[in-house]
Amino acid sequence: MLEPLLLTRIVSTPAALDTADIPAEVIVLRTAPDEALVLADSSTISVDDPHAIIVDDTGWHGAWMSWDQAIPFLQANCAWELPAERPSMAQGRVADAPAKLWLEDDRMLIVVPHVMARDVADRMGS
Amino acid sequence: MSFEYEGQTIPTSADESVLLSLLRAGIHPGSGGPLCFEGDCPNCLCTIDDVSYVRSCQTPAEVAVEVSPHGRDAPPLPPLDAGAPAIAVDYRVADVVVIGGGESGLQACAAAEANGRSVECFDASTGHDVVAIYPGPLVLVRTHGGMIEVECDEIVVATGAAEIHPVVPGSDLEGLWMPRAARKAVDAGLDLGQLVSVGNVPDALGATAAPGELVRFVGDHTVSAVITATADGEVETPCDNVVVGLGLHPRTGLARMGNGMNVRVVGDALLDADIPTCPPEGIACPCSNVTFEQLDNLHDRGFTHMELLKRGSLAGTGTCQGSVCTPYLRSFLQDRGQALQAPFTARPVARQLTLSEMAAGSHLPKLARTALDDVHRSLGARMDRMGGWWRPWTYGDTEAEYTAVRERVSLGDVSTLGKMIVTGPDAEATLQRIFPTNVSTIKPGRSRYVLMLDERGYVLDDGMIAREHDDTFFLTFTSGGASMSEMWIRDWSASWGHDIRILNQTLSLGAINITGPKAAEVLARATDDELPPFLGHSTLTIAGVECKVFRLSFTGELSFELHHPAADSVKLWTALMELGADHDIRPHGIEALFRLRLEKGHIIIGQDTDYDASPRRLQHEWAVNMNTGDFIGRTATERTNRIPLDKKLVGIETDGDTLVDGAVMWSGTEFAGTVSSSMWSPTLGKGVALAWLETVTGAFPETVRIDGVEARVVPPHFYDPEGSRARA
Amino acid sequence: MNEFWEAKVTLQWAELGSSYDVVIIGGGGHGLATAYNLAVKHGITNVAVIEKDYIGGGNSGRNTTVIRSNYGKPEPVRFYQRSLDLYRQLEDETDRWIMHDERGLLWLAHTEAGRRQERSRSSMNLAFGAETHFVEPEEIAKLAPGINLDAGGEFPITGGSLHVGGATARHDRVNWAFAEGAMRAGVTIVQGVKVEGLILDGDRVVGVKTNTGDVAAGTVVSAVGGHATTIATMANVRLPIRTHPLQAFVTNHYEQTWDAIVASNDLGFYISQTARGEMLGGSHIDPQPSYSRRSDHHFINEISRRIVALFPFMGNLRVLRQWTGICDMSPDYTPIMGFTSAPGFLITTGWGTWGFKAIPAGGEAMAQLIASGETPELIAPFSIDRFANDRTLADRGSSGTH
Ligand SMILES: Cc1cc2nc3c(=O)[nH]c(=O)nc-3n(C[C@H](O)[C@H](O)[C@H](O)COP(=O)(O)OP(=O)(O)OC[C@H]3O[C@@H](n4cnc5c(N)ncnc54)[C@H](O)[C@@H]3O)c2cc1C
Repeated sequence: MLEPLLLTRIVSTPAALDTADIPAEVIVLRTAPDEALVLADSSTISVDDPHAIIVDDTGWHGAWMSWDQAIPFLQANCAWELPAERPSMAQGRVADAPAKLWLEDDRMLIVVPHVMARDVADRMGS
Repeated sequence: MSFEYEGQTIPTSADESVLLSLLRAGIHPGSGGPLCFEGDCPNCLCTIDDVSYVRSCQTPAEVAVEVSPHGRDAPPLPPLDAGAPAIAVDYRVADVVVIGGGESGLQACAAAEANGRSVECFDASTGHDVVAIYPGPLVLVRTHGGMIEVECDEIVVATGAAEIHPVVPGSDLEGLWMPRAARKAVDAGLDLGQLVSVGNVPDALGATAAPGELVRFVGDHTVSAVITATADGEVETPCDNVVVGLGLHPRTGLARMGNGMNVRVVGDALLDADIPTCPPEGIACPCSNVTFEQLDNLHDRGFTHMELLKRGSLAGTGTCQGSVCTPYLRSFLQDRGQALQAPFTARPVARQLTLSEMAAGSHLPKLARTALDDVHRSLGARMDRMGGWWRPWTYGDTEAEYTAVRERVSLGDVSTLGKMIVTGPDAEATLQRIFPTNVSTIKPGRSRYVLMLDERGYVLDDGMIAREHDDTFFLTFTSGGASMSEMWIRDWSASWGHDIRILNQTLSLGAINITGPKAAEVLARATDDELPPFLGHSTLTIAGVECKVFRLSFTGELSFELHHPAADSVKLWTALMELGADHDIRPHGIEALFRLRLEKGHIIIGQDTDYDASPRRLQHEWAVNMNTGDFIGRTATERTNRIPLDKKLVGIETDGDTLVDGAVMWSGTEFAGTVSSSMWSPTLGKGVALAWLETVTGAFPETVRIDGVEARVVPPHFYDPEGSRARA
Repeated sequence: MNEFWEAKVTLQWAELGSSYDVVIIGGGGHGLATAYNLAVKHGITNVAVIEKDYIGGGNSGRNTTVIRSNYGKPEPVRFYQRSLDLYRQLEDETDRWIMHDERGLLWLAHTEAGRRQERSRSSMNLAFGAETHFVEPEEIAKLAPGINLDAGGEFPITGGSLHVGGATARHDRVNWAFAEGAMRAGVTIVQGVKVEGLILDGDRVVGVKTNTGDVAAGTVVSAVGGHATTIATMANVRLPIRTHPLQAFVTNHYEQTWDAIVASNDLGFYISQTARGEMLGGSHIDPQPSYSRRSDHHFINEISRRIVALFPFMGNLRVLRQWTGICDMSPDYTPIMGFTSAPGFLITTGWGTWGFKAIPAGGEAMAQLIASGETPELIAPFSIDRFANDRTLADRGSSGTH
């Protein structure tokens, strides 16, 4: 289920990231005040910080899951509580991998480093 | 439906316990003692399908295949060739968990539900054994089909009260019943023959009451009479079965386990415990077979504290977890003049479950895999766990891998290296304080080997620092050190208030090391760009993949590290393998790499260093510039440099022998240190090693003896000490 | 009658007086063994041991009882070997059954680095008097019946070391043997008395304050496992100690037929079968410092998986109980013993997850130090000065989990 993703990784001042120029429909995983993973390629993005790091990143795999699939998977593999808000981003240990979750009303995106993707996929299958 | 019991086929019916089926067949499976039918006592234990200590009264007959009796003595270990069954977990979330489905439990359920709260209710009699309450709160339930884990906000303990068991002489005979068990037996149609009751027993059972207080039971294996004390002396009442009512002891174990959590106790579990009379003789603890005589004896010898009494006698440490004996230990100590003691600390688990059941839902720890993991495995590599990663130890012929590097060209997967971008106005200022080197003299396009020290001046990690532009640096760290190094730099730069941006790219970039005298030639076939000079770096397109190319050398040969997007690793690797085919290019594993670097005297953090490795001890003072500003570890380095040096990392050479890693070195009869890494160098024709040499009577010896072999202490640069090959 | 009950020890309790030559805070193994040695070996009997709960109620009565000396540096190997030797003679010396059972300890490697480390350990041990041999997987299969050499596929066994002197003993009985010997020689041991403060005269510690009154002392020894920093702070002594929980579990008892003591650093557990037949296992410390003794699900859930991967047959054993102790961890995984910057205040601490094995030698050395006023050579490397003097004894790889 997990597929390679092309993301853009941004590190900049929090203020610049708050006002970054990113197409509206693009999913932004704000992983830290000064860091974001953006589900788009870097050419579409600009940030008002001359020192910002903006790089393409092929080091992540991801999968969309319906909540019917996601709930049992998370119950077995995630020890922390998801935020109630939708859409929203959550991150933490899932299936022993450092995962980012994008939560929508009817589905969820899980993003994990490619180095753990095989083992996470095994857990999704079981 | 049936199960096997000692060669006998026992017919069963649905909704019946193993115990009831056995009793119907005229078999008492335990080694005597009253039956409670509630899982409280150890008197119906069986081994069921390789698992011992199973309460047959709590086990549905339909899940049992092979049942054997188990007695009081320790059963044998399970068969050594038995596999561990996989157990499923049902994960649930509820507002309230109610433990116990009796009257008070059902009331609690109804009340919570009426308040719109979600409720899970478990009762052992329906096959749901609540085995523990853990912080969370997390309620762990064992069923015959698997485990249930419930996360909840509130727990209601409605576990009721256990009936107090008799412990008088003869309490281990068959034919004794607790009142509730007798009720169930009669309802199930068992014929209890001449049934006599002692103590407080409901009339409805129709038993003949023996007068007075219980003294003992008599019989041969099975009870034939009960002896009671009356005002007129002892009375013997003949019987086939006896039902014994001695009062109630609330089951508070789970409530006490959940102490400090949101736990509420209701119903009979709240009762004040009846404190039974302490008989002058008998077995106080049937699980550990402890007599009152032993308790008295211990008490007389100073084992007066309840815990010491328990530990000295082992009463309460057996399979029923003190359910039978706790009321008596309390009454015993009260009888001997002490205040009434609280029951023991309640620890998980309340009811036993197998290790397989305990393991349900957990996984062995997993390691990271580089993007080339499949490539290595398909090349037949033996993968080894190292620094949090799977890495190819050898592709099967370490000598050939070594030779390929020394004589031709080879690839190594170094994707596991820590990789980090540091940029921003204060990037240089931060790194100047993180590393004990003058960062300002590293020009764009150049790189330098660096140590990272902690406040005590000990080496935390090592790596490379490369300047890309004025205020942009790319750092590498060891495979195991990446996360720690990132935190280290983040924490310090934040505490200094520096304006920098940090991106850890360890998991996003792959890295391939192409190394050997033909490395430049092969690489030139893959790019039109000019390759960087030694310790230089540039961004080039190699075989269609954009790479940051670092020219440096760990193997001692001409080497280029190609850092590239992880998704392109396989493409790049495959292209280079093809382009080097005429030079018989082959990959090298970690075993070959460790030998190659050892000949060069390059250290490996963790293998050649421990917590106390300072640059001085490592003989890496050349990597510490005390003329720069204030770097982390500077003060400690200045201070410890004034203390005489006690040990250092040196080179060791022998003429004909390979030393064993870890071998102890002697100077005369004095300990002189240990070998850290060693090998036979085919290139040099001698044994070489890195070793921790210690001073012997104040000075470092020049020769040492190791496993009977004389060895010379030398500088740790065995191969090409001038570095001309790497610079070629 | 069960044969494992304590049939001999007599504990003679006394009232706490108001002044002693030596007051020892903490009635764990180290406090009791120090008192025993003072009284029995040095004739110093005007000694009190003050225990806030019951003797052995700390880690000395809740450990997994592994005794070994297979450390990675000369100084600890020598010290623990001395303790191992003292354990060997403790039954004769005290005429008490401590269930000492020397059956060898198998320390497993699952990687190339681990294999290398077990080779190093063997060399180091043999050089300093501990008997340890490197063993190949085939031999391991014989030494640890039921082992799965492949360990679930991902933890293949690459070798190991057999520490021949590895042993176990019943923790409570060790504590009682020392307590009884000390009491008999005239030491006062009290339970249920808590030291709540120290009495200072300038820098010097001259006594303790307890919930039942003040007690003057010529020398105060802190032997408070799990609370070392709390007491030391009262003497204005800063210790480089952090306190972490350590959990363990035991199964029901089975016929005693499994003779191995097996430890795997990589899988993070060790296990042995006690004389009584329970399978007794433990793991690494919890990563978060804490004084909590509450057991959790994560520990038992994980350790069970790892054990079952290595010993599938154990999947059918039934877990009886789990529990937790709190361990004073030193930064270099080596104990901290002896004098401090506060005159009259001695410490024996940093026993982390490994101090049960050290009780006889620790008590012997502390008593020698008190009696002679000088630090015995055996424990001189363990002095607290080592941190300031760049002489730490980094030995994490040997601390293992027990
Ligand atoms: C689960 C577990 C497994 C272990 N396994 C092993 C093993 O296999 N092998 C091994 O060698 N070691 C093992 N250890 C470590 C070993 O148990 C300890 O290092 C050792 O018991 C420490 O002894 P101690 O006397 O220093 O401390 P403790 O036994 O903890 O004694 C300290 C005593 O001080 C008392 N105290 C504290 N504060 C006060 C006060 N203010 N006033 C009065 N009294 C006070 C406490 O109540 C306690 O009784 C293990 C530890 C744990 C927790």
